[in-house]
Amino acid sequence: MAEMTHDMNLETERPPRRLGAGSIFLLLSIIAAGVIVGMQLMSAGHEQPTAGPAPGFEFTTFEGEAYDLADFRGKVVMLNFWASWCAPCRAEAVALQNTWERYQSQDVVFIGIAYADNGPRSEAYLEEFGITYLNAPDLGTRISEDYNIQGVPETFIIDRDGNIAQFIYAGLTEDALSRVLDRVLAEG
Amino acid sequence: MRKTLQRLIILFALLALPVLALQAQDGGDVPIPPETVTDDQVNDIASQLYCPVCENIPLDTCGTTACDDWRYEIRLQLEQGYSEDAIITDFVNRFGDRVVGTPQDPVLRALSLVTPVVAVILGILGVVWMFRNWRTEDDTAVPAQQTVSTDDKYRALLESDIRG
Amino acid sequence: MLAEIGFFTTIFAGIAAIYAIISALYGVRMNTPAAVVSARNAVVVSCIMLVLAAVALQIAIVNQEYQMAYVWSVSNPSMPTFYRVTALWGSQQGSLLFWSALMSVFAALAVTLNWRSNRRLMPYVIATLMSVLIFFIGLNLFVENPFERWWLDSASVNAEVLSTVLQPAGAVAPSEARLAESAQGLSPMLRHFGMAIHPPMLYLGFVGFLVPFAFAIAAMASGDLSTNWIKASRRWVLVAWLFLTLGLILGGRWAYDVLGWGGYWGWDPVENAAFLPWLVGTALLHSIMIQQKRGMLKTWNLFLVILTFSSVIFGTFATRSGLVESVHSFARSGIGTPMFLFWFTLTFTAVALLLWRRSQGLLRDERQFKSFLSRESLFVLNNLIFVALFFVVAWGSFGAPITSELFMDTNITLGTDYFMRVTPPLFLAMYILMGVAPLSAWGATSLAKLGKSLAMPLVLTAITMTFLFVTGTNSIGAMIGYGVVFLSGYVAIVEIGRGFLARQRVHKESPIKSFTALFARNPRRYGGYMIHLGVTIIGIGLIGSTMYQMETQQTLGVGDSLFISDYEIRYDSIEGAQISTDGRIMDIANVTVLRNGEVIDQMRPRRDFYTSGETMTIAGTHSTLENDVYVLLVGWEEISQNSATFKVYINPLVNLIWWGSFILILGTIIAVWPRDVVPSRVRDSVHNVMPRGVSHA
Repeated sequence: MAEMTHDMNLETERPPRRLGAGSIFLLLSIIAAGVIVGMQLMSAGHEQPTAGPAPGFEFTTFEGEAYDLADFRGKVVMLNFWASWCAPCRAEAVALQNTWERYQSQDVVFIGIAYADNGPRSEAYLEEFGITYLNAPDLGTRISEDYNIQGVPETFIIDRDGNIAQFIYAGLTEDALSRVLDRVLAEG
Repeated sequence: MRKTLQRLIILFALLALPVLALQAQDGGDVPIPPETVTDDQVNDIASQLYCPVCENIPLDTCGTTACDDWRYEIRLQLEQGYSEDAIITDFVNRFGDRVVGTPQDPVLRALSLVTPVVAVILGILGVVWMFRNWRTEDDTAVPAQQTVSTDDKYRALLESDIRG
Repeated sequence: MLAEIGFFTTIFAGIAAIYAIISALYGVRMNTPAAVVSARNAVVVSCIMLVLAAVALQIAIVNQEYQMAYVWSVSNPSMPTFYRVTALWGSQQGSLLFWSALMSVFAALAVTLNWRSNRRLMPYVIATLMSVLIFFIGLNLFVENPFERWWLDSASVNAEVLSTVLQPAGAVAPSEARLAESAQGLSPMLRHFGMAIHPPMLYLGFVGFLVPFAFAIAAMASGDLSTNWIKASRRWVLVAWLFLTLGLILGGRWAYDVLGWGGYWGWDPVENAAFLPWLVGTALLHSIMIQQKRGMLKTWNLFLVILTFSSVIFGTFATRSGLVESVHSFARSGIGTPMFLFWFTLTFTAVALLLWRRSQGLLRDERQFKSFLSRESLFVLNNLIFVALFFVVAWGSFGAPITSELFMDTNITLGTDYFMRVTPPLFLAMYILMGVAPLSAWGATSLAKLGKSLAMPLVLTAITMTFLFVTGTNSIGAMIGYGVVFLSGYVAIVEIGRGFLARQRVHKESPIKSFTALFARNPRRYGGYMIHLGVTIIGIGLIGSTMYQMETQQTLGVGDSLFISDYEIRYDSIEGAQISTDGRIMDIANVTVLRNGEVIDQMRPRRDFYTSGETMTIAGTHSTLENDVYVLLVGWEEISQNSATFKVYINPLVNLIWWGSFILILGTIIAVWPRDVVPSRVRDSVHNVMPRGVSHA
């Protein structure tokens, strides 16, 4: 009861304030913060693409030749992310090279992208396994980010139309890779 | 009152500036002579970089073999006579902006460093403005005080009524 | 059995919480006190249920029930029992359940302890507490369930492994032996005494801020915008703040011990996410005093409480959802979206409620700011600094990286560099204020009066500075830092001293009695001085160990030494490839530390290699008040058995950080201590309840 009297007395003196500009600004800022955080949450949850058009990129091989992924439209592309400091990559390196030697006469291109790896050790790795297909360093880790990879090795098979046919998470064997390549080549 | 405020702001600024100045001191445009490169020299540069593949671990404390390799590369570059700035720029070019503690790109650098300073200054100005508002309200608040005392009297009457 | 018990008690807790919300709101709408009492009982029931659920999970871990998926993921047969206990909060599901259990205990305490003194606010307090609780219970029931078990689906061709709580039709339990041998176990980094206290302390701190938040919402919802909500929550704010401070310091200590980089704070986004509530919580601590003493800043206090709790929820959301890159990240899970929505709804609703009440004119200040140097003005400055720190830290950890990633397509990292550039001026200003504000009075203070009170502390500071200068501290930055920090400490000491002397003059009692009586008679003031003293000592430790840290790394042959400052670190021998009881391989170096030719310690820094592939580098430390000599074995080549690489840090004054925190704890306990000058029953009757003898009109 006492509070009501108190309120009544003071409040008749001054009119209640409206929702001022400051309040609107505050509410809008909260909404803006929410939108931005929400967008970040969605983008952080992105996973590797398993279908649809493969993200395009340009690259310059360790030998200095420049290419664009689009240059290989019409062929099946095996895109493999690796690093010289990665043990599972070393385990599959021989399989990859052998498969390449068997398929290089067909409409297939092998591209190796070195993730966070572009010094003398990378070139030593290529020499050690006698790798002859195209390999390029991923400068600034942009390509890896575009493909949302979580680690290495990770492989993407891209069909002739430039769409992703398959994403392979773990290490590859010659058999497994050959089967996938045969399938995608047959799809035309 | 205004003078005191001014004095305090000046005092604040005087104290803050030397500290800010100290932080802004930059180390290395001087190339290191190609004698034996010590671990400390490598770590000095590595401590300004982050491991490209770990999450938020500085390059000098990261224990993985990959980080060992990268520190080895920095050692090679030092032996070849590259300056600290050149090594850091090269590392950023190869691995992206996230490997260095403050962004190299001037726009991003401004975004990171200038924004908080601007925000703090705006905050100070806001508080100053708030104080001045209160002081002017203070001058016109005299009638309100009178109302408070009448309220007290009214209350006292009411309570004595209640008590019967 | 344990899984069923845990699962069903969690469900019952959820039902009780929902009932409590409905009953409380019904009771206040229909003016039925009995419904509110019923709601209170439901709060207690939900607490008992959740504690039972947590205990069930704990027992399952200790008893090695590997069929439960959570137990399987956080423990294995080779873990010692002590770490089994800490594994309760070792991963996402368990830590969420632990969080909910703590929250329910705090809710029950808040409601029962404040039942008589804040009856009017109770329905809304209950509704708010239970609404937040039901969200976390929901997470445990629908998204991250700790009671799921492994089953083999004997019906399917490949004997697929399922994970559900209740036994699916046609499924059998996998063999115990197979489960036990494949169990994952906690990461070795989590096997430290810090794991026993750091997460619980942090959670207690985070969850503790829910109670003031609930009271604030209750005040706004009910329209009772007097200081009642503050009086009810003042102690909760202090206690939550204490736990949060301890959690942060313990986290630092733990990192210092096991991460092997000679430091204790990395400015990592998840660390900062726990620092943000601390910053606004400290601002809140101070500004509620203004409202209590002077009836001012009503809107601001409500906003600060909302901001504190909002940053708690944001912090736990950012940590658990992988929003930004961090070393502390939990594994990616589906928890991000619900937590984000909860954070946003909570913040928006609370602020909208506040602005609505404000627009009704219910949050008028009772007095005006008279003098710029009055205590309330300086507290406003204090708030400005803490909120500025909040913004700066939030910008560096979240704002800038997120903005640049979304809008400029670049991933950046803002690291120690950035934080150590923008925060020192603010910390400096904070310490200056900490020195000046206790000397100013509520209402008005003149510059002359302040100057007089500052005289003694300034003299003491000048003496200390001269001493430091003469003994070698000669950088301007360090001198300014030390000067300001020491000044604030001396202010606290001199104020305590003045009170002590005043008592001695008036009362004829022993010095010890005077001292204790001083604290007992006015615990809030003198407890506050002691907290400030603790913060000062911590500050000295922070400055010393940050600005004067020395490090070096060298490869040594057996018998060789490295030299740093006036220490000599001599590499005596190595015990390589030692196999320990839990299967890890250890390389242990034997090292002697000498100073000016005299042996002062022997150490055994080592590297542990775990079967899981992880390695830990454990430092050898020689700790004194003056510094830590911190020696790491960074590498050892078995081939060239002679050489080992060592990294040595000298961290001056670092132990003051840990010791200062003890003083801080003591001060907070004193400040929270209930005053038995006037019994609360009598005190509160003057404010809240109708005078006796008056019938309810």
